Amino acid sequence: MTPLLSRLLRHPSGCVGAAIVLTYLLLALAAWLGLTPYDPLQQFRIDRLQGPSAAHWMGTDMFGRDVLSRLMIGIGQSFLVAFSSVGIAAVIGTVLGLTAAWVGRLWDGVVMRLMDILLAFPAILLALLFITVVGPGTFTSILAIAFVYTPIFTRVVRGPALSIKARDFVDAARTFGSSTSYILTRHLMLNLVAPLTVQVTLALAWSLLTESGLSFLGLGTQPPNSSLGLMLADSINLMEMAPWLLIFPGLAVMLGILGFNLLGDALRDLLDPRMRRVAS
Amino acid sequence: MTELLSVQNLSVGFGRGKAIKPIVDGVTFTLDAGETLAIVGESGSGKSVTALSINRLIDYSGGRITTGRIDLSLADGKKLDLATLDTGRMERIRGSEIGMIFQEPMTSLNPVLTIGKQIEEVFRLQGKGGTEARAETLRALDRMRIPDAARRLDYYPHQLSGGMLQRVMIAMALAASPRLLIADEPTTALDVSVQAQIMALLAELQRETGTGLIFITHDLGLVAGIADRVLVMQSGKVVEQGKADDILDRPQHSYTQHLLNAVPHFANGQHVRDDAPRLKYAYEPAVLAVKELTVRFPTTTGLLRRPAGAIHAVEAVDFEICRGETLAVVGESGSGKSTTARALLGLVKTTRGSFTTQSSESMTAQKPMQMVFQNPYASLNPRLDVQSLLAEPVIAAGIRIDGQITSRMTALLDRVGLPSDSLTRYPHEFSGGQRQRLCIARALMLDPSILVLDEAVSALDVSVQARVLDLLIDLQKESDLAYLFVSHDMAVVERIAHRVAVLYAGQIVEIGDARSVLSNPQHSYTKKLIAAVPTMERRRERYELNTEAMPTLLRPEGFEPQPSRWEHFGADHRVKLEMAAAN
Repeated sequence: MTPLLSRLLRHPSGCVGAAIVLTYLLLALAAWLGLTPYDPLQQFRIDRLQGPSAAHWMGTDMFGRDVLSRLMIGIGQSFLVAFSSVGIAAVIGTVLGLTAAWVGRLWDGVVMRLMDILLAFPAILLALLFITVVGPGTFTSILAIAFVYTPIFTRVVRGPALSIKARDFVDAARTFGSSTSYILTRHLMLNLVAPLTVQVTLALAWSLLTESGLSFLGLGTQPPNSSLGLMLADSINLMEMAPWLLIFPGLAVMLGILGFNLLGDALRDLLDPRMRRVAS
Repeated sequence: MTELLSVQNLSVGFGRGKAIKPIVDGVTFTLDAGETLAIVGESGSGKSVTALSINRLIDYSGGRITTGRIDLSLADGKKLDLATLDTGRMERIRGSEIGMIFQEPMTSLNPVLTIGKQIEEVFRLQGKGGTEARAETLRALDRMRIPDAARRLDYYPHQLSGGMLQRVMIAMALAASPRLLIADEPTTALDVSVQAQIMALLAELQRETGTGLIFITHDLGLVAGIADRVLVMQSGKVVEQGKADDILDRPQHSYTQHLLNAVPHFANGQHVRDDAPRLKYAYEPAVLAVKELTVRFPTTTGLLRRPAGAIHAVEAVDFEICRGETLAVVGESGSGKSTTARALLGLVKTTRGSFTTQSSESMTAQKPMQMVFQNPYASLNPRLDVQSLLAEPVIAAGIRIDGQITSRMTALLDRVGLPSDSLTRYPHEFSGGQRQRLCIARALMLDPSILVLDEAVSALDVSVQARVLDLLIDLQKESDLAYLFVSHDMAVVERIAHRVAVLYAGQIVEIGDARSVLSNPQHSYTKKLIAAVPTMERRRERYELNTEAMPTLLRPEGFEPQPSRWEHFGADHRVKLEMAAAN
């Protein structure tokens, strides 16, 4: 995969996207390791609602907590939710899509109609419904977002899987007597890596947004823990008095989504077989 | 003869600015009214691009005419340079002066409009009204010898066969009575017998209307049949042009000679192979013995999917192949030849019948039968390197990949003529012919005794095709491989087959020694098939128009055909008796 990485860094939007995503990951990692400038929960009562300064780069909130430290924790939290939910959705969606395409008939019909029903609801509404039943919290929002994105992965996998299944090389493998699991992994999955990679990066962007939305509504991460959506929710009443409370988390959400989208675009270009090196 | 078209120093490039890539380089030729010019070349020679430049369709596929003139003489004697004409006037020229027929009739017609509507549109563009346009459309279809034309006007493209659709395309192209007709490989996607009909039609229409015809093809047999003059192209350049007889009989340029040598000539069974494995291995059991092989696809009807009968794709097929022998299975599309091959490999389920195979004594001989597919671009997983591709059958057989296997891989790659550094490369780095060699190497990994070749050389250029055929024959001689060679190309069959089986509507109608079957066909279908093969000897010969279609294979539930009765001609040649009233 090294050549892919070097080509990614040479791709203009891929380079920017990768840089943003990598920065976020490092910030999140630092936050988990406790390498924040201050304890994100420590309240500096005297320094409440301070603007950005040398001591607090992004200012402090209404309890006097350091915004930068909370932002780092928040990014970590949002990424945790985004990556786990997309991971779960990708695995379940791939398994469903692949088996639907391979087995066909009744199983295909049942799976795809179920996915059609799920897709008929707006994502956030479906997540809300799920949380109303199970109760709010980080773990619930992971499950809710995974639930919402599973049908998308199922569809993204099933379409190409159907067309790959009909290609001659799958028939050729059958004539050798290859086992079904070998054909599914070697022939189908290997050719699905490209559409899946692109879909994963794009889904990460969406789920980042959905997580922020859920937390904003008070249904995701619960205080005193921090997440980007929660920080935005806390800031709205103080928007005029302390705009930095709104600006920094807002920017963080926006940049994060931009980063994932740029990365997804670049991967789509780079993984397209027509862009690959041809016979020399 | 009056000059209709004069192309001078035409160059066409693809791409933009400095990165422009020349595809056609300095092509010059002229075409008189009523004359047929054949442009011949292999894929990538620029023959299609030349044709598309004349009606400037090349503008829409990213090409640009860089230099040269294309002078078309109009009816009033004025000349028009098409190379520099503006888009608006070009559109009018395309509608009225130049007609075009494409290779693939299935995709050239709009699937949601009836064919009548689509032809009518051309007449409407000429300003003709409703009933008049419809009457003209009917006349146009009649002229194409489409039986029952009035009813077919309301057919949608999917209800017609490929040959019929190509006739519709020709009707559309000729609707505006163009003075120039460009046909880009018009019969490549069609069966031999249908191809002969289309060629006959084109020749006849040209005699009637005096249209100039530019005919693009890779098939030199067709050229002999229709062309007055021939232009041979290689990598964007004209290497030779002149009268058809001169080019075909006394080619001057080495590439033309090479091309003519590479083309498999059909010689009515005079050039069949003379080695006789059947005599050599007469006392050994056949490596493949097929008995009563039957494949039926059940069909259902209505909401409740009640069984409504079955499509009898292959019906009670019997044959044997002995060691080192090639049995060629010929027939048109829908005759069940591919289904037979796929049934033997277990890709479709057999309804009835059985087959037995004999494996060779080798250690790695696990599956005695392996298959090579038609399309080398689709039968190799693009994301696996050559080593993994060759390992596939080995892994499937449950054998560990060790040094011995790897050295077998290198030896096989070397044997099929691929460079030694191929193991770590990917399929897209190889050409079509090389990929087919790779497929052959992969099929040979487990040392099979039978190779099923399903149109294995049909997708390749003639010169590549000849070399792959040579390789197959050499491999067969070396290791006594048996081939089941499925093909529609009689010339190729004559070159590789020891025995021939003719399949028609799912049944073998004639089987026997290749020389006997090809030189002395007995069944009416075999005769028709062989009569349709274009050859170098048949210069501007009239092919007979025959619009008879294959009978339907759909049978009611529980239908059992009567067992075939056979008549024998000589030691190894039997023919199915034709019933007086075919079912």
